[in-house]
Amino acid sequence: MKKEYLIRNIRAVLGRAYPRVIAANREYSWVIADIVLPLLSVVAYGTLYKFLGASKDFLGFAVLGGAMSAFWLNVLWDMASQLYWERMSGNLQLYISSPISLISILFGMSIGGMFATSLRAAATLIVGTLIFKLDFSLINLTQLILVFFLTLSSLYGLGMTLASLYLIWGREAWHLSEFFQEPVYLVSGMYFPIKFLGKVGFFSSLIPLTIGLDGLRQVLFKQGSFFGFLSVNIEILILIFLTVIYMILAVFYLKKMEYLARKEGKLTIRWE
Amino acid sequence: MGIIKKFLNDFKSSFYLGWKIESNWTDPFLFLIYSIAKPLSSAFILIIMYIIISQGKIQETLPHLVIGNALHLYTANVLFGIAWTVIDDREFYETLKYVYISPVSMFQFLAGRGFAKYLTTTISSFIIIIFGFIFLKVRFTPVPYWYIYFPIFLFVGSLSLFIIGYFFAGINFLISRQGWFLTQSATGVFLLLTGAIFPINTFPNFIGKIGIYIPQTVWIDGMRKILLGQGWNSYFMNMSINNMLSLLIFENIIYFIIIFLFFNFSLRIARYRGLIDQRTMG
Repeated sequence: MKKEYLIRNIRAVLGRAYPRVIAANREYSWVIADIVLPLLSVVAYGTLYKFLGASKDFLGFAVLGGAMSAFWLNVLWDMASQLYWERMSGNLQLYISSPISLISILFGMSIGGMFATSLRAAATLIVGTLIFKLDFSLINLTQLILVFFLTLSSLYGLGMTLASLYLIWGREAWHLSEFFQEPVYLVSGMYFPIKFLGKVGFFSSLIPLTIGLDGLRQVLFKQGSFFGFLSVNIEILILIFLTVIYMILAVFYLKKMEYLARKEGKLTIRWE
Repeated sequence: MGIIKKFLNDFKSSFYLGWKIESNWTDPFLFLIYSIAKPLSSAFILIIMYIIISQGKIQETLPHLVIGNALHLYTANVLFGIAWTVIDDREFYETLKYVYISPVSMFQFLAGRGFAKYLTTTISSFIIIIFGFIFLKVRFTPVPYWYIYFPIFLFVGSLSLFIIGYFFAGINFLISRQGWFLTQSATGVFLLLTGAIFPINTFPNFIGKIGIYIPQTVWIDGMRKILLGQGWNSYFMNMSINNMLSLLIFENIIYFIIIFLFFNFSLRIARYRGLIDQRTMG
């Protein structure tokens, strides 16, 4: 790989991360939306737990799930569907005709998205904690950091893989993103411990959020390990495995789908 | 052409358009799965949360939760559907201006588009309710003459959904891309304040009382009373079903007058300011 090509791609990564970090915060309505929408669900589910007489840790599970849902929404709407949006706005053809790799574009989006969404998720977590007066009890800081960052890396790897698949889709991309919201909230145990879904948990572990959330609950709450699905160390290993697999799949599918999209002439079509 | 015939014709056309936009992106089977899986998942999240905390015991509150959640789907989908049509047609399809200059009333057009959402939501809601009765052993203990009250209450409650939907559509005429967030948030706020998944008196008194003035609160609790024999919210506990129906009709009339005026006003302002064909979402 030539040095010049590498520099160009690093610039592309930074260039694509920039709007996610800086420009996204200029549109205040999006910032508020990203914080308020998950918060409304958090308050609804938290209040239901409270009404049913659940322990405070369950309220914490719901708040943490609500905060992490911001990452899933970001992966769905701003990663997976992004190339579809770019096609709609006419940018996709510019990306493809420029002397950079599409992977750099997706990588830049991931980094920017992770950073911006972390701020919003933190806001949801803080407000949720204040509303329900949650008690956190940090069990292991190293595990917490590892689980959190590995969850994000594997999750955004999945986002990059999905982005390549979305490349050849038209309007169904929008509907598929809609479709992957609530069903994934259910099977990944977004608002309750995944342990209660039994064997379904093994299948839904393909979604990094399932394992990540379970791990985070185990290291952040007293009752977390009691309701844990697998041990945290095993979950860390699974997350490493998922990160590698999704990155490989992303590179493979992106090339394949880009070729397919070129062949079928889908790179410039709007509102198909 | 008679007024009623024209109304029905316009309604049919906009419904047909709405139905096509909703469904023709895939084959009917996949569309059916898509339409059912999403609402069923959100219902199951609540049911599983309930079962975990009650340790598997089905108690009095579950039937109320099932009915409330099934009916909240209407609020979420119809309200959002009508309001989103304005943004969808204006920003993405860029057809709102053509609808505006055509001899179709925007009011009827949105009703037809909303009705497409209403139909798909009806399938999901009924599946949740029937699932509750069969698999969760929700006991069907209806009020006398429930078969008369049920369709009437469903119809009057459905009207309230469309009326509130017009309010958010009216706002969306005036604002840009923020309309998406506003409507989504409203759906979330309605989930909290209408007592769909917990009684509104769970909240502090003044917040709970806001819910009484939202027609959907009366509607959801009335439907609970019709199907289960009793309501959930303490405010309507001792109210007869006839009184609840009168209250719902009264709230609908008040809301309709205010929102109808607001809708026409916002449409006029949108035209005056040149907002009918604005594009703010890329």
